Order: sequence, then structure tokens, then C-alpha cells
Amino acid sequence: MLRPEDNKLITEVGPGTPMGELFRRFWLPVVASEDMEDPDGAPVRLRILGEDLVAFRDTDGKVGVLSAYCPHRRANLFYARNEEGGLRCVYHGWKFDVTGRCLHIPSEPARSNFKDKVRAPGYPTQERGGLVWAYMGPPDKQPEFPEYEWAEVPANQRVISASLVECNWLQTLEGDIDTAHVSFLHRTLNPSTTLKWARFVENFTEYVTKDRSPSLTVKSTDYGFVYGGRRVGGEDDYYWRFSHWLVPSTSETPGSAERPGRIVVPIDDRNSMSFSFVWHPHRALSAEEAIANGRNNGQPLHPWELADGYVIDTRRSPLNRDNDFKIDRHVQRTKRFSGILGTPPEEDRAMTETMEPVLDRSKEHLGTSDIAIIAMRRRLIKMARDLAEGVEPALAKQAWAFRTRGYDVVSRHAEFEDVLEEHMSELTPGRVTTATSG
Amino acid sequence: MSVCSMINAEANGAGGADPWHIVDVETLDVDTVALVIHQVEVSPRADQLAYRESEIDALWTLADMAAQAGDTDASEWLELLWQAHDHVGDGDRTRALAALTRLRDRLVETERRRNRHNASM
Repeated sequence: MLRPEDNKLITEVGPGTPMGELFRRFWLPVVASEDMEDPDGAPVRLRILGEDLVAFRDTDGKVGVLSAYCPHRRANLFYARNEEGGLRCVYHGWKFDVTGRCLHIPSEPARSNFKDKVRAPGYPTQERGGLVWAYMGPPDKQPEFPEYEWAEVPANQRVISASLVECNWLQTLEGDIDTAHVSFLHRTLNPSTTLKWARFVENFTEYVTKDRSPSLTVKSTDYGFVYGGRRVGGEDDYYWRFSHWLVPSTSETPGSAERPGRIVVPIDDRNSMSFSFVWHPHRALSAEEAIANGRNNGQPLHPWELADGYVIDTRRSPLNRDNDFKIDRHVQRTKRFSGILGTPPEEDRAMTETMEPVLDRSKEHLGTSDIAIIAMRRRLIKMARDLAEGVEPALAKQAWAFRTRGYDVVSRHAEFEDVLEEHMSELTPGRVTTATSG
Repeated sequence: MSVCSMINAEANGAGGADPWHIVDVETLDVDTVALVIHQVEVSPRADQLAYRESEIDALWTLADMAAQAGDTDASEWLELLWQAHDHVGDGDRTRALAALTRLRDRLVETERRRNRHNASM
């Protein structure tokens, strides 16, 4: 539970808010590269941390993320012509490059140096791991790019999905670090009917069915925390699921074959973008794995109107609030605990999107199994308050700290510390020097 | 004590000094609150205090359920638990302990009063 004032502090992300400023100290994904592949293609409308932006790829393939509004008369640059190295506003012809530098103002006298004094607000970008990232913080605080291992492996070892989540970013992230719900929301009623390419240990369903009240441990780390859930199997076997939370909003959840993770990026206070990655540290994903995890599956972006009427380009799942996530009560009785014949993220969204858009945490009722959620909130609140008082987050400058992998394993060890030590190389691997960015 | 020793709930009431142990919170009573007080006393670190916050959250849940069931004492318990929760969150163990101790004392009084009432019936 949180007091309303703390809930406000931790959920609101617009410019000038404490949590919004904390987000702005980190590189954030804003759009998938595949959603803006063509040089001189159509700009993509975004809203990130409450700011309306356009992303575009110029003639040379470079990506820019600029304010959606032309600095001249604030016409929306989504309608701009993307041509010859820049974005030209169709209202009066002002043209800007990917950095926001003004290249041409045809409406001003030829001798004028006005264009040298005008800029379109914009942010530095990088393309890594199949995503376009932006740094939206103060220029003098710009950190190195975080060493996400999944973003460094060859492109055929990873699939990326980017989609809309229609609720506040925090309740989405809280679901990602909550291992207890796996025993319920994502469970099949017949343990033998698991997908053959399931990423978890072989007897995953038996373990989570048998022990629905895992023993939980949260260990604070430089990057956030590592979180272990232990389920008892037989007399001498324990099923451990390890997740990482990385400040501010990345989770890397368990897997022993391919590894899943997600970065939740606030669109505004009531909507978020989910950038999911599923990857294998050592080999290319099979076609079957890529299809099973590639949730975009070739769907293009579509216009989506936010509550205030502003339109962004995004991808909305066909299972959504408008159709009750296609819940099937027969399936609920006979096959799936949730009754939702969708992916785990769709089951997750059915829960988080049908809370309030911004969950009122003064009304919730937590138990001791919610320790990870509690620890995360407390850390974020402290970091946001510290930043408001001038204490910068040290993690932003520790690019190496982002090298983590979720993991699940059956172990004879009952002690968190023992199993963590035994599998440290899987959970926090060293740098891969031969990897290439895709 | 290791930094990340495994937590489980089998040792409630053991009286040891293990800040990574989570108290089983199943009832809002004097004994459970006393166990949580003990855990706050042995939890100096912020990550340990997150464990304590989870226990206080669970106590608050029980107090709120009591309030919703019409227990007239519960509003004071809730306020004391809010105080303990916020002080633990701020790392102020002294004030958190003061709030929890007051809660424990109020629960003692309530139990006595209710026992007298039951005996007189």
C-alpha cells in the first residue's frame, strides 16, 4: 500500500515530475526499428513520458526523435515531408535534420541567418537490439548506452515485440516481477499440455501446480534487485525462478532456454509501451521459437487515439478491453486457468489494464508474498526523491551493471545464496566481446 | 548472517535475529505484532526494511478487513499501521517501532476489554 501522495509521486511521469525526471536519466526504447525501416519513410507519432514526438529515418538511414510540433507555428511534423536528409514541415517548409538542427527556412529572406538560430527540440538516439532508443534527460548527464546483453547478440538470436499497454507503467512492471501469479494466471489445467518449445524447465507445470506459494527472496543489487522464488518439488529438488528488476523499468524474467524480458516505457500516466525481447544467449532462435515469441508477427503500426484526443502510431493486441480479452468460460473450466486463449502478456494485460488506469495503491491489500513489489516501489521512491534533491542515480553511469539474464533451474539447493552462487554465470554473465549489434 | 539467506516462514516465533525471515502474518494479534517489532529491531538495512514493510502491509490488510467488518477499534489500528509503514519506508526504525509498540499496547487493551466483556456475559 502507498499513501496517495507517494502513489502520485511514483506513477506520474510528465516533464518536471520526480519519477519522470528519473526516467529521463536513462536510455529508453521508443519504437522498434522494424516499424520505421524505410529511409525517407513516414514519420511515426509517439508520446513518451508525456511528450509528443515524431520519429523518422532520414535519407541516410539515421533516426531522429523530435518534438511533434514544428517550432514555427507548432504544426504537427507527422505530416512533414521526409526528404533529402530531413523532415520538412508542410505548413511553411521549415526543414530539420535528425538532431533538430534547422536546415532551411524558405519563407525567410535568402540573406537571413534565422535558420541558424532555430532548432526543433529533439533527443539523441541510438539503434540497438532492434530498437530505437532516446535519451531525454539533460545533455550533460547523458550516460553511456547500457550493456544489455540481449541487445548485443546477433539479430537472429532475438525477437522483439512492441505494443501498447493501456494502463500506467508501474502496474505493468509490478506484474512482471510478481512470480506468485505464474501459478495461477498462466497455468494450464492439464500439466501435460505444455508447449514443446516452452522456455522453462521440463517439469515447469508440475512444479508450479504443486507449490503455489513459493518462498521468496529479494537481494538488492547495483542495478535494482535479483528476485528468487523457490518451489518445493520432491524431497531433494527445488524449482527456482530468478528474475531481475533493473532501474527504472526493465524486467528479465525466468527461462532456461530462450530468455524473456521487457522494458516498460511510459507513454503518459495512463498508457505505456511494452518493448519485449526474447533471446537466446548462445544460439540462433529456431523458426518455431521466433514465430512463437514474435508477437508483432508482421502487424503494422496503426493510429491510436489517446484519451486526450492525441493520436500515436502503435500496435494494439487483438485481445483487448473492448472484447474482454476474448475470455472463454469453457476454456476457463477445462483448459486454462485464465480462460484467455492468448499469450502470457495478453493474460497479464487482462489483469493490469482492467484495474484503474492508475492503480490507487492506498486501497490495495498486500501480503508478505508481495515483497518484490514493495522493495521495488521503495527503491524507486527513494531514487526519485534523491534526484529531486540533486542526487543523481549512480546506476545511469554504470553501463556494465545491465548485464543480467533471467533464469530458471531445478536445484538440490534449498538456500537462495547457494543456488545463486552456483548459477552466477547464467544470472550475471560477463561481457561478450564478439557480439555484434543487430 | 549472510546477505541473501533464504526466507521461509517456518520459524515464526523462534526469536532469532534473522532480518531475512518473514513473519507469517495470519492474524492481527499481540503475538504477531510482537514478532514484527522484533524483526524491525534486527533490520537496520533498507532492503531488510522492505521485508518489514511487507509484514506491516499484511497487518494493515487484516486491520482493514476488520474495519470493513465493523470493528470499531480498527480505525486506530489502521492509522498506527500507516505510521509504521511510512516510517519503515523512510528508514526511520525508531518511529516505526513507536507506532508498532503503541499498536501492540492497544491490542493488549482490546483483548483485555473483550475478555472482560465475554466473561461478564
